Amino acid sequence: MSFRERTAWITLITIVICFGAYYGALLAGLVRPATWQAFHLGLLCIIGLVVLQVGLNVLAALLNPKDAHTPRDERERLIHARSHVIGYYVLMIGVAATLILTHVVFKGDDFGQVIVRTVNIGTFAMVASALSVAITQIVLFRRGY
Amino acid sequence: MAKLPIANHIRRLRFEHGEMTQSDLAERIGVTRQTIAAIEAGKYGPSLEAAFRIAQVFGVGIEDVFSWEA
Repeated sequence: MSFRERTAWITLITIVICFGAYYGALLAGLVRPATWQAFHLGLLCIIGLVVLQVGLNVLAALLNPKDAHTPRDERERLIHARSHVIGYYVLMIGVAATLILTHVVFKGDDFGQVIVRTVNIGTFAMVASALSVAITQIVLFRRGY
Repeated sequence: MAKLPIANHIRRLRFEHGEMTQSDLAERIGVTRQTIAAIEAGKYGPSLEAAFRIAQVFGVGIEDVFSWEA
């Protein structure tokens, strides 16, 4: 497995773990949205994501320093570009969904709840975009291109 | 995924050049071993520059490395 593919796997796994924990807790009703508990969980997940990604990428680079210091070759650049085009489309759909859902007011929602819901959906759009980038890269690396 | 309509003889050329490994060839043309593997398997069509570099490593013309199959 190449260094770039390994970093794509690291991105995928860390995002699934960290944001899976956050959105899983929200959807399962373990924490209520728009509370300090949810805010702290979200903060913890983001910090965890950064720590895990930095740590695992440093470890991957230490295990294979030559590949880590080699610039992307032409195939890796194409895979990088293609995956980000797909990620861009996913993000645009997410932004549109966020804009629409912001204007959907559920019965009993106050302004604060609408804001928190908007932030959660917007964050999910970014997470989905990052996931689609990582998944596309892994598929293309596995497939050859 | 559709296979490229371009055949290549890289595996044979590597064998004829002292059983050169994919890593050796990759290093000499400045790509990863995985990219050489993808080219050999017909899953990735290299750029013209990379194709010329491969031919140069083997000391042959580009048409001796790649041929149109369609």
